[in-house]
Amino acid sequence: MSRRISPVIPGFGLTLGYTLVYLSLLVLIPLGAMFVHASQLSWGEFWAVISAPRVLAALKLSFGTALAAALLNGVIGTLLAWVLVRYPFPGRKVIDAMIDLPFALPTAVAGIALTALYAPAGPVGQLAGEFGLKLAYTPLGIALALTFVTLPFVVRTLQPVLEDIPREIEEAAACLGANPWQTFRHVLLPALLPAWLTGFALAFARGIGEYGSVIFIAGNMPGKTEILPLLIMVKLDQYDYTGATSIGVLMLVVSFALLLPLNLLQRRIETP
Amino acid sequence: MSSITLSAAASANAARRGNALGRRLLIGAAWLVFAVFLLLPLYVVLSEALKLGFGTFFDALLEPDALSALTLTLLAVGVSVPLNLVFGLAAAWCVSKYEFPGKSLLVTLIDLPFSVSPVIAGLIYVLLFGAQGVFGEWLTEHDIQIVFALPGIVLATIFVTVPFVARELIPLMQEQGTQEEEAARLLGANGWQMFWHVTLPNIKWGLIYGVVLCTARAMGEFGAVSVVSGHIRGFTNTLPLHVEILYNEYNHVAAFSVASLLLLLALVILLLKQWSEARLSRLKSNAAEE
Amino acid sequence: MSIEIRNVSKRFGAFQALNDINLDIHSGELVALLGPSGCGKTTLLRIIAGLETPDAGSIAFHGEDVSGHDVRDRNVGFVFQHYALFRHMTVFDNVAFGLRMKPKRERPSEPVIAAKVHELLAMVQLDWLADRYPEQLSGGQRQRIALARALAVAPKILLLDEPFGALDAKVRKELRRWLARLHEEINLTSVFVTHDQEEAMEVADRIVVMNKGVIEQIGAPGEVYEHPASDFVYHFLGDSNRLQLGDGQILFRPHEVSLSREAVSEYHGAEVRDIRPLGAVTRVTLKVDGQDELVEAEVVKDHDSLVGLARGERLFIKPKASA
Repeated sequence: MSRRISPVIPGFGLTLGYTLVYLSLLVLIPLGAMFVHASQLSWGEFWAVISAPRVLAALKLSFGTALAAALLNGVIGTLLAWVLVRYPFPGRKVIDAMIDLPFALPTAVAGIALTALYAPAGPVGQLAGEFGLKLAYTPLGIALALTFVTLPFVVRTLQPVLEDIPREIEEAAACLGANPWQTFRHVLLPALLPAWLTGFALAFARGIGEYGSVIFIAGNMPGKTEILPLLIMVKLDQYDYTGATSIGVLMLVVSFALLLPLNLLQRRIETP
Repeated sequence: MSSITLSAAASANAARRGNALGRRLLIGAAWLVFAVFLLLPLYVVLSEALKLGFGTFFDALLEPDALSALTLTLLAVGVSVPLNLVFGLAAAWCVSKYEFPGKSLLVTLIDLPFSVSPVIAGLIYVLLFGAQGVFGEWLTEHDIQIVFALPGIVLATIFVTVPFVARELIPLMQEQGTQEEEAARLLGANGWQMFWHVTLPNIKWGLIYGVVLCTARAMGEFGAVSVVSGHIRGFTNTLPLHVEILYNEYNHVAAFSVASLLLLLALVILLLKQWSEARLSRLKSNAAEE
Repeated sequence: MSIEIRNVSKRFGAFQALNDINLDIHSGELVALLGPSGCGKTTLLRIIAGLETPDAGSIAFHGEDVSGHDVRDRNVGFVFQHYALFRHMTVFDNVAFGLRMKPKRERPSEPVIAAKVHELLAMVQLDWLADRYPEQLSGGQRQRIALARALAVAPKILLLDEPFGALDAKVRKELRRWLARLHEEINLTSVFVTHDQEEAMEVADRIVVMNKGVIEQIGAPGEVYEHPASDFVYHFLGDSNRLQLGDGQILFRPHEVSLSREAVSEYHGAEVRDIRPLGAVTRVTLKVDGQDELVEAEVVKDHDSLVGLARGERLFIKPKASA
């Protein structure tokens, strides 16, 4: 039944076979093993692990800060994408190239750099302290770290879409009497929404699982500033594989439950 | 009538002034975000590293533990990137050149490691190969060490970087279509000749771009590697893990010195990325003109 | 080399692209596959080339069944609609590709390849472009390079998919005549696909009119135009008018009319709706009495009936031929 696009191009069996074997061995079977491991637990055991107050607090913290960071990125990412695509200005190329820094920079480096900045003695931390605001070792600091590591997602998904929207569309809207805000709201926003949602979802997913950049700035106080991935690490250090697996499964299930509707929504907007 | 024209012109001017003001505000805001979010961390890493001068800076880099961490990092990159390169080519080939049931599911699965926490990526290998894992007993009997050793670090690094090359190549190859390959076949090329002479040169820049991104992540991976490494100083520490150890020992200057080496590598990667991306977009705009 | 197509069918999912096609193409002939988009003409061309496998039926070249032959062994030249030039190779390397891909025993030496490439480039009159890349060429130049590349491996059959489709009108006309002349010189069996009836009429020895996966008619250009085998062929090969006569109707081309200012027997009264001078001819749009569908008539620009004619006036019209 499989119809090739062109029957004269060889390699279908070889490449598909290799892809499936590689993906199965390195990704699917190991991930499956975690679920198999978890399925050996009774529901009661599983529930006992994930309903512990420390786990629930970490769950709330991880998803809450990831959501806050994704939303913040939704705003500043849109701003950066807009300015980079629409306005020629000095330094544009440099900023454009440096947007990807958080992807290129090892997260541990980002983690200690942000901690040095946002700690009470650090330059930004001091400034915030004068306004009575504590950044490092608080959920706010975690959200800021996540904002840094996920900064490129929204910018990079919006940029190509913005570039493809012809200027004439804005000019046409202006000729029809729309003011800049109306043009943005009614003409540009609907066109940008699917890409924006994609960027948002990518940032959100990455934020939930992020570890390296967060553990330095978080302070890691159980129940207060301890994120879920760190809790898995803690359980592993105590050789509590049951606990680690249960939290891992919980994390995956909750993030897919959140990302799936987002994906569906995005597809629905894309195919009217 | 002239007054109407005048007021219309005036309001148009005002609108233009308003636009110019809004534009300046937006550009200013973008610069502010850039400076606070991207430049400041850069500055902090370098200034902390050089706080005690270049002597201590280089001492921290040339210390044996740092060098062995560098070697391990290069090794992990050297194994995982080529493997994921071959995988990316194979995956992009079957996805972009053929139609088959379950294709979109396959594409989703290729992307799966991006939505899995790196800590979970480490965890699953511990569950499989750790002392209490599925293969734990067998591995102990045969004296094979995977977790808390190099193989585990490589496996975890591969897991988190699986999608990079494939993700770059799939849209590129789908966009380029199959006509040039068909033309090559009609002109007598066999499968390998077609691949080497036609396909590979066409996807070269996308491939390089994917490899650059893959290298960046492989070099800097922290969470996944942290789980499977066991933190054995001088043996199973990669550069990012070495940074963590130094930092936790309150040896901040050394931590930031090693971090600035990683930062430097990151900047090189950004340059490479910029360069391959520019070549790629030129390729695309040429294709669009045809 | 002749091509014999026997009972070829092809379906893509639920779409029947070709339905039991039978066609003989004689050696040295230049044949056009003509039809609207989606009629199956490109699929048929790709099946002849071996780029597509038919679900049923067979293809034979000069009596030899090539259905099972790999695309490399069919030795056909193929020119793609968008040329499919290798974008990372120079014009020279593009043309040399087929020769360089030959197995070592058959491969000519580089100097022989170079001589052959320059000979081909000279034939398509683009020798001076040898070092350029495809992106630096105009559409018409790319087209001719694609042709030179296809001819480099000395094919017995040349297949062209919409060879003029991506060119602008003026270049198209020039290339069309050039291709017809070239075909006479090198005397290959050639098949080309087009949706443009004017192009088919001007270039081809024979036209195969296709619609919805079947062949409607095969014939010389004059034959299919003058004696269309079906309403579809009639409509597809040119503008047409319909005149209602009681229960029946007649079809006629805009130029197949007689016009008169005076009422004559057998002529139908009509009101002039529009007058368009088109150069050598003038087109008059008429509303014939008792019929809502408008009729177009084309007459030489100095025709008697046109003198001083204005919209809203009355004319009398009679179709010359009926189909």
